[in-house]
Amino acid sequence: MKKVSLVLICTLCLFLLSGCWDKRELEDNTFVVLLGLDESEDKNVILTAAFPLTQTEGGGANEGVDNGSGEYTVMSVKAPTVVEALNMFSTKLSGPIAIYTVKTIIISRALAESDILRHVFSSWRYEEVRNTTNILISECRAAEFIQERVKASPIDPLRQEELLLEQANTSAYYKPVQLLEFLTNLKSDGADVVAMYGGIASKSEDKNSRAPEDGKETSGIGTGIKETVKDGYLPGEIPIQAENTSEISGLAVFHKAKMVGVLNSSEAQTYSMFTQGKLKKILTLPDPLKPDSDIVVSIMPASKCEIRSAIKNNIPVFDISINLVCSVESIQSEIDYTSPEKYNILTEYVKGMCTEDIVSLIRKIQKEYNADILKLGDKLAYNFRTVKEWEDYNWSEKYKDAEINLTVELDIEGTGIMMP
Amino acid sequence: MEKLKLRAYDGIALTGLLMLPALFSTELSKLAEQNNTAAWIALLIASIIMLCLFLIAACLMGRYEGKNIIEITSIVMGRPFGIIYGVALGVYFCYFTGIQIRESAEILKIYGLSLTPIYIVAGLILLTAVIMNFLGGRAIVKSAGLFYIIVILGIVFIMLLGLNRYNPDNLIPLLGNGMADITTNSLFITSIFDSVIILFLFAPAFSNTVKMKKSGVLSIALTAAACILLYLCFVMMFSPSVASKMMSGFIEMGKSSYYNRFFSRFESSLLFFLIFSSAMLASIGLFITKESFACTFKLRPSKAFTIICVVPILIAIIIPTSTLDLTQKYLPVIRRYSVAFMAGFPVLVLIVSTIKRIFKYEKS
Amino acid sequence: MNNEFKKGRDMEIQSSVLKNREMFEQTFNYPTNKDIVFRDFKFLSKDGFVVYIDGMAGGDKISDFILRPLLNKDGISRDLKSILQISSLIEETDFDEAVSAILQGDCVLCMDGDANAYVCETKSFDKRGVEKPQVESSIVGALEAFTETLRTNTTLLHRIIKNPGLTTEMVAVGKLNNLTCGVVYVNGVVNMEFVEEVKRRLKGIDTDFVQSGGMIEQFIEDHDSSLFQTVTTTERPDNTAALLMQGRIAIIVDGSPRVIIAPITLFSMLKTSEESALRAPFASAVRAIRIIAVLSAFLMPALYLAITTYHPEMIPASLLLSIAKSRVNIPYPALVELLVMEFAFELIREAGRHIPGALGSTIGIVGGLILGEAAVSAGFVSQGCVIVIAFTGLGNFAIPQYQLAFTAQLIRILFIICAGFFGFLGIGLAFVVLVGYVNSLTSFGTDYVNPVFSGDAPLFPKQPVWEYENRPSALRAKKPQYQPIISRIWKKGN
Repeated sequence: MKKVSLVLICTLCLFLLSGCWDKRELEDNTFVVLLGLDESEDKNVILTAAFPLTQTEGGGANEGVDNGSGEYTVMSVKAPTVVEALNMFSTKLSGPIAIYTVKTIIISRALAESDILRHVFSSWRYEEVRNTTNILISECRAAEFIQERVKASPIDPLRQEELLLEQANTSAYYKPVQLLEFLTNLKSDGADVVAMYGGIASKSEDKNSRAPEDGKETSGIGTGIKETVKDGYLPGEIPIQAENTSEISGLAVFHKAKMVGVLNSSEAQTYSMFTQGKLKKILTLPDPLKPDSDIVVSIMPASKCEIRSAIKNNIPVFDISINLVCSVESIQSEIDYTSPEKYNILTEYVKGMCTEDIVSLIRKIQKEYNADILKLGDKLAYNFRTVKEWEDYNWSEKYKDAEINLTVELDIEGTGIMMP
Repeated sequence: MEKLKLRAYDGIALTGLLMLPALFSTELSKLAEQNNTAAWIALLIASIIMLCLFLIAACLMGRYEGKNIIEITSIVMGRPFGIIYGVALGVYFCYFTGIQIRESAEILKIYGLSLTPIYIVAGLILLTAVIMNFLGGRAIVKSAGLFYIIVILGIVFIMLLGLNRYNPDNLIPLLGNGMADITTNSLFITSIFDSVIILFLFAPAFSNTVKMKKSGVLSIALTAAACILLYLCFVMMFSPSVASKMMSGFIEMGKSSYYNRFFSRFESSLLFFLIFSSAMLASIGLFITKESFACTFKLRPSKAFTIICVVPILIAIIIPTSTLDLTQKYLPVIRRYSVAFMAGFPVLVLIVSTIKRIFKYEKS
Repeated sequence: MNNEFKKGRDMEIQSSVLKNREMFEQTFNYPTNKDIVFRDFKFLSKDGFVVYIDGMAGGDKISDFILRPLLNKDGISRDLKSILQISSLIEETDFDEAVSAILQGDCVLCMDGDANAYVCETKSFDKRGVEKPQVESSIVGALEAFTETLRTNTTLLHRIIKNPGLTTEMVAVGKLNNLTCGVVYVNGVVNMEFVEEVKRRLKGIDTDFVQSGGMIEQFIEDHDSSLFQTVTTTERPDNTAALLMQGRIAIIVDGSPRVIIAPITLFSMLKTSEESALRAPFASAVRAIRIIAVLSAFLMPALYLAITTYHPEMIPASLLLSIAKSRVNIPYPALVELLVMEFAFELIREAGRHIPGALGSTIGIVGGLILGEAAVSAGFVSQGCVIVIAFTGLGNFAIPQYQLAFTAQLIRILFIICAGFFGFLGIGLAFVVLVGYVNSLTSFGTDYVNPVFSGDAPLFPKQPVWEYENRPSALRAKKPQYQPIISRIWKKGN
C-alpha cells in the first residue's frame, strides 16, 4: 500500500509540474460574433470584430442570467494577414480571443473583387475557424456593415445571426453559403460559387424635421421611404424603413476566385429554382385578362432540376428541365382562373414569365459573368472517364460557348384558402 | 507467451483496432491525394488481394495446428530464421505503434489541445498502453471487443451525419487517374490491411485454424467496408482536391455537418473516437511487441519486460521531426510498403515448407 | 471448532460424570463465569448433569422436555433417546464438539457410565424478527429482509426455494470467536468447483476475530484493495434465491443481516430483483435510466469541466455567454470550484447519514439549500456547477449497490482531475484504463465483466422472462438451461 501511495503522489506531482497548457477559463474568453475583412493599401487587411461584453459591473450571479442585449463592442485592426490581426487584438482585450463562435464572415466587395484568396483561403488552415461559418459580401465597407448589424439587436446577437440566416429558408432572397462550400468551389475548376450579398441602406434624412400637421406628431416611419419599387433589389435599394439599416438581399457571383457581379433578389430567387428545395418565389404579375390588376403567384420547384449533358462536336450541350409547381395566392380581378378554359391561359402565362426569368438569368451568368454557378461543369464530368481527360478538356474556356436547352414545366396546384 | 483464449470476434476486434485508426488520421487525405476519385476502387481491389494473401498464408498455419508463426518459421527454416523473424516482427510493431501514436498525437494536438507539447500527448497515450499491458492480455482482448464496436459506431455515425451534404458529383470522373494507376496503387494500399497477419501470432489461442481464418476474413471484410464507405462519404462531402489537404478527414467531416442551429457543434466529441482508437492501438501494439519478443526468446513476459519493450516505441515516437516528415517519410512505411514484410514472409515460409515437403516425398 | 481453541488437546467425553463435569468447568471457567449453568440430577440411580449457557438455551425447553421426563418416576425405559422429548438429539463423543454446541445455544447432557454426551436442541435466544428491507426496498416485490440469525435466514430461503437440493454447509470462521457461516447452494444446479473454492477460502481465513460479513468479504475476495467489489451482499431473500438459482453461492454469516453472494459480475450488481416482477418494456426503461445515472455519476462533472475549460466550442453560443457571465465573479478556476462543491456535497451526505431519523433528512435538505443558494449568491460557485453536482449526486443515489456508489465516487474524482489537466484526452484515456481495469478483474475465477457477444442476457434491453433460456455461461452450471425455447406451453396451438 505504501508503494502505491508513493507512486500516486509522484504521478500527481508530475501533473502539477506539467501545468495545463490548453486550459482556458470560459469567462476569460472574448467571443467574437461577427468578423469583417476590408482591403487596405499595400496588400494589408483590416479586420473588424464585434463581440459582446461579458464583464458586467458588480452584478454577477445575483442578478440572474443576463444575455447581454445590445452591449457590444466593435474593434478594427490593420495587419498583413488575418491571423496576425487576430493576435493583435490581444493588445486591447483582457482575454484571449475566441473565433469559434463567429457566425458570419463579412467581406467587402472591394476585397472580393481583388484579392480574396490571399486572405480568406490562407486563414483556413487556422484551426478555430469553423466550416459552417457563413460568408457575406458587403457592398459597403465591412466595418460599417458590422456596426449597423450590432446596433439594434433586441435579442442576443449570436442567436440573432443564427435566426437571420434561417430566414433564407422562407424567402430565398439570398442563400446562406458556408465557408466550406465557398472555399472548396472558389478554387475548383469545375464550378463557381455565390455568396450572400449585403449592404447598408442610406439613412432617411431628417426624419424628425417634418412639421407635424394638425398638431399631431408623426413617427416618421413609413413616410421616409425613398426607394422605388422594382422587380429585384440589391441592398440599399429595398424600399423598407427601419432603425437598423443593414440589409441582405441578392447574391454575389464569383468566377475564378474573384467577384464578377451580383444577382438581385429576384434573380436570386430564380437561382434557387435550380439549387434549393422547397423555397417559394413570389411573383406579382399583371393579370393576363385584365392587365391593370395583378395576380400573385408563388412558385416552387416540384423536384430537383434535371441536367443532362453531352458533348457534340467538342461543344458541351446541356438539357435542363425544371418542374415547377405554382399556387395562386391572390387574384385582384377576381376572375375565376380555376375553370378549365381559363386554367390553361394562366398556366401558359405564368410558365412564359418563369421561362423568361430563367432564360435571362442563364444568359446573364453565362455570357455576362462567365460564372458556372449552376454547377454545369460537375454534370459534364460524367462524360469523361479519368481526371486527366476532364482536365485536358478545359471546361472553363468552353463554358461561354456551351449550348443550354431549357424546358420548363409548370402546374398550378392550389388556390389558397379560398374556394375557387 | 501469455496463455490467451480467443474467440472469432476477439480476433476481429484486435486486428480491426490495428487497421481502423488509420481512417481517423491522415490516411483518407493521402488516399484522396494519390488516387483522386477512384481510391475506393483501389481499396476494394486491395482488400481482395489481401484476402487472397491471407488465405494462402493461412494454409501454412493449417499444416501446423496449435503453433504460432514464429515457431513454425523455426521449424521450417531453422531456429536462426525464427529468431530473425520474431525480432523483425517485434521491431516492426514497435515502429508501427510508435508512428501511429505520434500521428494520433499530432491530430489530437491540432484539433483539440493545440498548446500541449506533442511529447506529453504521445507520452500519455503510451502510459495508457503500459497500464493496459500491466493489467494483462485478457483485459486488452476484452476491452478491444468493446472499443471496436464503439469505433465502428463512430464511423457509421459520422457517415450518417453528413447525409445532407453529400454531392455525388464529386465522385465523377469515376476512374480517377486511370485503371493502370488504380491497379498499381492498390498493390501498395494492401498494406493498410496487413495487420490481419498478427492473427498468426496468436494462432494457438484460437480453438482451431478454421476459427482463425474466419476471424481474419471477417476482419478484412469489415475494415474494407468501413474504409470504402467512409472514403466515399468523405469525397462526396469535399471534392478530392480539398479533401487531400485535410489533416484528419474524419473530424473535418464532423466539423462540416450542419442541420440546424441547435445541433452543429459536436466535433470535439469526435476526438473521443480518436482517443479510444489510438489508446487501444497502442495497447495492442505494445502487447504484440511483447509477445513476439517473448515467443522468440522463450521468456515469460513480466512488468519489467513491458517497460523494456516501451523503449523502442519511444524512439519511434521521437524520430519524426515534424508533421511533414511524419507523413512523407515515416508513415508510408507502414501504410504502403509493409505488406512485403507482413504478408510476404509467411507466404515465403509456406513456399519453403511446400518445397521441403516435395523434396521429402521425392527422397522417400 | 477451530484448532486454536483446542489448545492441543484431543479430548473425548469420559464415562465418569465427575471427570466430564470437571472438564466442562475448567473449559468454561466455572464458577467465575456466571453465564454457564450446571443442573445435576439423578436418573435411575445414576448421576448426571445438564450444562448450558444462560440466555442462549431456553430454560423452558430444558425443564419441560429434558428434565421433566427424566425426573418422572413413572419412567421405566432406560434408553435416553426414548425418554427425552426434545426435537433434536445427537450423541457426541468429541468434547470440543460438545463445547461448540453449548456455545451455539444447545444444552449437553452427561450420564455417569455413558461415554456419550447428548446434545439437545434448545436454542432460544432473543432475536430481531423479520422486517422490511432497509436499503433495497421495492414497490412490487416482497418486503422481507434477512435478519442476524442464521437459522431464520435459511428458513426464508427455504420458503422460496422448496427444493431438496438447497444445501447449507456450516463453516466456522475466526479462531477465537468461531463465527458460523452457512454456505448455501442448490445441489444439481451449481458447479461444485465453486462450492469447494468458497469453502476452501473460508476455511483458509487464519485470524482471531471475524466480526461481520464485511470482514469475511474482504478476506475471501479475489482482488484486495480493488476499486470494485468482486463479491456482493444483499439483504433480500428473493434476490438471493434468484441468484442461487442462477448457479451462484450464498454465504450467510451469523450476526450479519446481509448475505454474501459469490461469484458475481458487475452488471448483475446493476440489476435489482424487482425488475423480474416488471414487464420487459418497463424494466428496460428503468434499466436505461439506471445506466444513464451510473454514467453521469462518474462522467458528468468531468465532461462539464473539460467542455468549459478545454472545448468551449461545443457549447451553444447563447449558453456560452450565460455561463461566462455567471462565472465572471468566481475567484478560482473551474477545477477547484468543482472539487470544492463535490466535497461539500459529500460532507452533507455524511453528516445526514450519522444523524438519526427525520433530522438526518432535514439536515440534508437544509444543508443543500443553504450551501447551494448562499454559495451561488456570494459568488463562490456558479449555478452551472451546482446543477452539475446535484445531477451527479442523484445519479450516484440511483446505483443500487452501496459499495458501488463509493466506487463511482472515487472514479469521479479521478476523472475530474484527468479532465482538469488534459480535457477530453484525459477523460478518454482514463476511460480506456477504467475499462481495461474492470475487464482484468475476476470473481472467484470467473470474469467480472462478460466479454461482448458472450450470449448471456444483456443489461439493456431487459429480456422478457420467457426468453431467459440459459444460465450465465461464466458459472458453468450443472444444469445450463433454465427453460426450453418455448416456455409458455399454454400458447402452443392457440
